[in-house]
Amino acid sequence: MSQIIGWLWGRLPIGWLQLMHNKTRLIAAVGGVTFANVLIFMQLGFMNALFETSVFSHRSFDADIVLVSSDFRSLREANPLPRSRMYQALAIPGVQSATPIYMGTRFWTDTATGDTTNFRVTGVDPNAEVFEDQVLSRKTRHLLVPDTAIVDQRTRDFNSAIQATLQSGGSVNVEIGGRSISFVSLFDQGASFDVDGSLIVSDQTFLRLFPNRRPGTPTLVLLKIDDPKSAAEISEHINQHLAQGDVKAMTKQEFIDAEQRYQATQTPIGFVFTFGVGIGIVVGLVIVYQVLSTDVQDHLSEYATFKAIGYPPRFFFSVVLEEALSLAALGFIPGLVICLVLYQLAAAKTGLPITMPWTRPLFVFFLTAAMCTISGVIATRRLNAADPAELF
Amino acid sequence: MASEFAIETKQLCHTFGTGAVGVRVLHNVELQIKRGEVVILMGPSGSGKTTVLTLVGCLRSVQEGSVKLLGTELNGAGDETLMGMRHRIGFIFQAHNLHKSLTATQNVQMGLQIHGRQANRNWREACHHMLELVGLGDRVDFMPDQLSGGQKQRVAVARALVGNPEVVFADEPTAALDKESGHKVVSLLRRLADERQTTIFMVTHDHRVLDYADRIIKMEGGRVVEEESILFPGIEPVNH
Repeated sequence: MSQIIGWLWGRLPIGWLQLMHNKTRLIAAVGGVTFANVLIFMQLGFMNALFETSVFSHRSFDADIVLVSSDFRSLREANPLPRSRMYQALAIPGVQSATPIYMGTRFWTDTATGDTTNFRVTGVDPNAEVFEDQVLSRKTRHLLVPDTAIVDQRTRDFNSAIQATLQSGGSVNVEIGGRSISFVSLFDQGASFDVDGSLIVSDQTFLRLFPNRRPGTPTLVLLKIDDPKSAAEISEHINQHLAQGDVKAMTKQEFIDAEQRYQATQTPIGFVFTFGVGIGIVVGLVIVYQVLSTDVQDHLSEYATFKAIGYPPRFFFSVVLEEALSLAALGFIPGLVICLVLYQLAAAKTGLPITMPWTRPLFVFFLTAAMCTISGVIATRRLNAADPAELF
Repeated sequence: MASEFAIETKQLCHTFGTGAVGVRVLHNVELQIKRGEVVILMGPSGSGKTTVLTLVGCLRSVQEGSVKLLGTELNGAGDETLMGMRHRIGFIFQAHNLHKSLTATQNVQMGLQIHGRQANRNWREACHHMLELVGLGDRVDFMPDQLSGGQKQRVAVARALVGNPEVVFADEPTAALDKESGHKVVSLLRRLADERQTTIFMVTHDHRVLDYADRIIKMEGGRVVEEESILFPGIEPVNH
C-alpha cells in the first residue's frame, strides 16, 4: 500500500506511514470518520425516503397532466376542485380523457390487535384505467361492489392474518369511519411519513366514507393527452383557458416536483434531515481536525528537522493532506458497509423505502474528502510552530 | 567562481528580543572557514555558539553584519534562497530527531529525496551505502524504536551526509555516542573533508574528538576569544 502511494506521490508516503505507526490514534480517527459517514448516510437515507414516499401516490397515477385546486401545496392538504373544470379541460384540443380522483385520510383500528392505522384513501372510478400499474388498474373492477377496498400490503405493521386471508383469495370485513368495509384485494405501495398505508376504493364508496365530501368535487383530475410530449404546452394552454383561477394544471413531473419542494422547504422534516447531515459533517470535521493537529504536534521536531534539511512548506502541507485523505478513504469504507446493513434494518422496521442509489456513496465520499481536507488545512496552521532554530 | 571560504562572517551581531528587553548575544563575530576545513566551535553554554551555528546554517535570519555561506550572502536573503542553501548543507543535531514511523533507510531517504528524482534513482543503494559507512549495514530496515541511542544518532548522521552536502553543521554529534561510535562518526566526517573537500563546522565539548579538527575556535560571552590550529602546533593562538 505504502509503495503504491509512494510511487504516486514521487516521495516517501510519510503521512500514510505516520498514520499506520500509531494504531490507537488511527482507529480513533477512522472511527470518527466512519461515525460521521454513518450519520450522513442515515440522514440522507431517511430524507430520500421522505421525498420518495411523499410522491408514491403521485407517481402511481397514469396521467400526463394533473388538475389541482389553485392553492395546491401538498396532497395531504389538497382542497377539492369543481368537476366542471374537468369538462372545460376536456374541451381543449389534444386532451384525450379525464378522470376525477378523490383523496382523503381515515383511521382504522384493528379490533384484533388494537393497532390504529392511518390510511390514505383514494377514490377512483372502477371502470377507468387510473394507475400506471396495469395489474392494479384491472383490480379496480373489484370495487364495483359497494363498500369494498383494495389495501396496501406494505402498510406499516400490517396484520399478517388479514394479509394471508387476502392472498388466499378471501376477503376481510373491517370497520372504517363508522362503515363496514370489505378488504377484497392487495396492492403494493408502501408507508410514508404522513400515512401508514393506502386504501383504494370506488368513488361511490369514498363518498360514503367521507360524508362531508360532495360528489363533483374531486381532489385531482387526471388528464391523458394525445401526444405525451406536448404535456407542458397543453398544461400551459389549460391554465390560460381556465381563467377562473380556482384550479391549475401541472404536468405529472411538475406535480411530483411541487410535492417534493413542499416537503423540502415547507415542512420541518426536510430541514431536520439537512441539519442532521450538517451535524455529521461537523462531527467528522472536529474529530479529524483533533487527530491531525495532535499528530502535527507530536511530530513537530521531526518536521523542524525536515525544514532544516530544506523541505518547503508545501511538503508538510501535502503530508497532512495525505493523512486527511487516507482517513477519509479508510473511514468511508466501513461507514458504507455499516450503512448498507442499517438501511436494511431501518427499512424493515419503518416500512419506508430506504435504499442506496449508486450516486449517494459518491456524494458522501466527496463530502468526506472535503471534510477531511478542511480539517487538514486547519491543522497545517500548527506547522508554523515547527521552527528548526528551536531544535538546538 | 565560488569564493575561497565556505563560511565567512563579518561584524556578525545578533539580539534576542527587542527594545529594552533585547539581549545582544553576538558581538562582531568574525569567522573565516575554508572549504574542506574541519572546525570545532567551543565555549561555555550561553556563549553564543549555537546562535552562530543557526545563523550560518540558514536556520535563523541574519540581523546585523554579513554571513556568506558558499559565496551566498545570507543577510536579507529570502525564504527561497535559504531553502535552496539548506539543500547544499547537512545538519547533525544533538538529538537524533529521527522520524519514528520510518525505518532507518527511509529516514536516510528523507535526506536524499530533497534533491529531486534524479538523485533518487538509486536511492536504495545510496542509503544502504551511507548506513554501512556509519556501521549500520545490518540494521537498514529497523525502526528507530528498535535501535539504541547511539545507533539512532548514527542514522541521523547518515541522513545528514547522504545528499553529499558541501558543508556539514554538527551540534554535539558525539554527545549520545559511546567512545567507539563517536570516533567512527567523527573520523567519517574527517574523511569527507579530506576526500570531498566537505567543510565541517562542529560545536562540541567532547575532548576525545578534538584531534580530528584543523582548527578550534573558542567563544565566550558572544565573542570569539581564541583560535587554535591543531595541525600546526607551532603557530601561536590568535588572541582577539
